[in-house]
Amino acid sequence: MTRRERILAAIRTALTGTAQVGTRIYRSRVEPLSRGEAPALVVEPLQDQAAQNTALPTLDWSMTVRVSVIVRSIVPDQAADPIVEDMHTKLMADLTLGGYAMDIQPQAVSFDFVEADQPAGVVMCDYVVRYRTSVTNLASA
Amino acid sequence: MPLTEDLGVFLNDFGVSCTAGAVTALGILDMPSEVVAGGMVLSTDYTLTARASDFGSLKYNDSITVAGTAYTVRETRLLDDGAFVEIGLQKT
Repeated sequence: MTRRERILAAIRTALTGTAQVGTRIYRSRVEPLSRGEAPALVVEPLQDQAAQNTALPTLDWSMTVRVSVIVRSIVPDQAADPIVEDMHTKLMADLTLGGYAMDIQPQAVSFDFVEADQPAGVVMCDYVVRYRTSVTNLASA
Repeated sequence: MPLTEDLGVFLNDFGVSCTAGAVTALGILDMPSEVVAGGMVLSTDYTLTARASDFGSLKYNDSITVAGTAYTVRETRLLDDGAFVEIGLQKT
């Protein structure tokens, strides 16, 4: 298993118990969530860029990971706020994500509000995870 | 020969009883599913078609009961010549 996948799994695990979402934490879920499935979290990678920064046979990766907080409420961003707060705290509790990353940093937060059978909102929280692999083997450093 | 409109005919076959405030009249409720928010949210697009003279004055957050189920108005849109309206609803 690549370090990328281990990190994504570690993020998913770290978010267990996030306020209000219960077991509704999904990895790269592509199916839309119905009204009864909110609030929920979706963890997915957006991009992963490699650089060889030293003479050593290693690659330094910067992976952007998005944690989307999906809520249904008249004021979606307000409803999402305590979930975002708890999610961020859990994610920052171990900056190595189980020892697989060098660092994780928040990058940006964006919002999408939509009219629906109950107003819906998606708060997209992007984080950059820096980690290292071997040039020849993505599973090891 | 002049045409005489009978808007009630349009609603008689498939219309269901709707009540908003003191007004009770027929309306046709459609409820197709739709995917919104960049594919992340599945919603039901509750839309009521009714005569503007019955429900055309409904505004955001007004209450309406359709076939015994309570809804809240999202928006009211005039159709074509304005004789009918489409009312976007959310389930209360």
